[in-house]
Amino acid sequence: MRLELRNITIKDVRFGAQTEVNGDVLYVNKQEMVDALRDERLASIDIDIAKPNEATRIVPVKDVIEPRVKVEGSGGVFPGFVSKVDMVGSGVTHVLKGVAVVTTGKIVGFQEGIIDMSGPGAQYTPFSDTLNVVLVAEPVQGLLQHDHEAALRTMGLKAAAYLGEAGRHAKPTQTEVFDCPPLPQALLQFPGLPKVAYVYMLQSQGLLHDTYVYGIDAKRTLPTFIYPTEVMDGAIVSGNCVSACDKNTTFHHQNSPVIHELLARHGKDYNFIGVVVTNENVTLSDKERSSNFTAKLVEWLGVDAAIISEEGFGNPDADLMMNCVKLEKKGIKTVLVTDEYAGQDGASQSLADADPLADAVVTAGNANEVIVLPPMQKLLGHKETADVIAGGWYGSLAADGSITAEIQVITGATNELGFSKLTSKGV
Amino acid sequence: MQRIQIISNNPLIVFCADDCFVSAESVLPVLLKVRDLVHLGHHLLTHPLAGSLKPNENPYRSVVVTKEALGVDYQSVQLVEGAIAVSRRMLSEKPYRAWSRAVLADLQLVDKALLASALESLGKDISI
Repeated sequence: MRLELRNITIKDVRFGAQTEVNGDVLYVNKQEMVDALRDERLASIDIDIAKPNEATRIVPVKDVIEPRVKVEGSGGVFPGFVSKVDMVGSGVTHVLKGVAVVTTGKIVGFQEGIIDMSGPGAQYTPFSDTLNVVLVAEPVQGLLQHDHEAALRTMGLKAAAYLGEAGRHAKPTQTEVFDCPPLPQALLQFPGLPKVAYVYMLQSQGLLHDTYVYGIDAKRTLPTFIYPTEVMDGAIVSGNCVSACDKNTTFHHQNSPVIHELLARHGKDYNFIGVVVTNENVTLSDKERSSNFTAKLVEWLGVDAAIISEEGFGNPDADLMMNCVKLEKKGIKTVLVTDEYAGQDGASQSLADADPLADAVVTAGNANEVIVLPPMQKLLGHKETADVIAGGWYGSLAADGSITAEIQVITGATNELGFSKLTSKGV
Repeated sequence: MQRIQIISNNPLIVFCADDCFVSAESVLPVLLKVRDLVHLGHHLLTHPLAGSLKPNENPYRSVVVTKEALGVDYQSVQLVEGAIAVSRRMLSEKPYRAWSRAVLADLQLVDKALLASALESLGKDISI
């Protein structure tokens, strides 16, 4: 499967008479876009723009999505949602690079998901660097939480597809080509280099904790193979946002650094054979079944090693360890990517589960670290929710508008695909 | 089909005769009750740390174990003891907030949704 990602670099977003890309500026016809997003479940939709370095806070964030459009090849972006379920991942896809759709919504009383466009909080989220088209929607009266979540999720995907369409005929500034051959060919490539697979764990526990693959709820799937390029076309969509620091937004999936890094070093350091997507369900029998299937599929690929990324903390630590142990016992070396809840001083045990075979682990940071977010001049989203931050505590919203909370409230702060700004350096 | 029992402090759950309602506004008494059952030989059917809301954020928790004592299951012991340790540590660092009734209702709803997801997977009636 061969995909060309053609990036159209956008340096500014403005409202205008027509939705179009003109030079490096994306113009958005606000009313036309609102009309395109209309949904009988939503009483109102408003659109705003947040730019890097502004004194703006967006809260509570539900999802972040990168605008893309397929211009060649089968299917359309976000199959199973805004496009039919044709296979994606081949052909040509245009990307509005530098732009993100951000959805906000008050689905439940407790809230999380903060993006600060400047100040200390901005240093913890990659979405302080993007030009954010922020959607604020209110549900119709009496809409149940499940339906509200589905409406916001669909609205975000429709918005990203709508904006992506503006880039259909725009001139790309950079092209990346990803060529992922079928398994028999892949196995013959680069003899002498270690063969590596990627186990892509998806949160799938229930309301506000779900992920979708080609439109189907991942909890209802068995682990399966997926081409890396399918993910770039939006085959994986986020429906989860609780504990915002380590939930993969749809943007994270579209730009998964694990996949991109594996592809970048493919043929140099190792032979990247393929991806297995698996879920993180509530029952132990589901966990056993999924980890059994994951280990079987990875063994089937005939690889020497696998990278396993987790999504979330606590319950999925069990899935992470099951995947790790079952692969290691088959003689397949593993490297785990996770984050930590190691207490505010970082001294406590980081995960809720562990095993001696998990001896190669990359951390994306300690979500319990405390941060003070200073007041911002502008609040986008649902202003009243700043007082009910789930990762804060009573009195964490001060009279001046500053918030004291753990970094788990910041969207993407300790992202377990490594799409974050935290790092450690030897001194 | 396997017989189950639900251990929960969530008032939104409709309990059956086999289930156990724990009257407490904290996950700890629920987990301690589950631990007692696990040490008596009941097996965990759901992970005791469900959902991404931390044990010190959502005081409501529903856990499913086998109705019958089947002999001590080491994995169940390890998981519930680990969940208790994490919950104790997090609660000592940051206790529950005084949530409004509306927020408490939403927290109950999320716990119920996670339980429903588990019961569906276990082939049980999800009209809880």
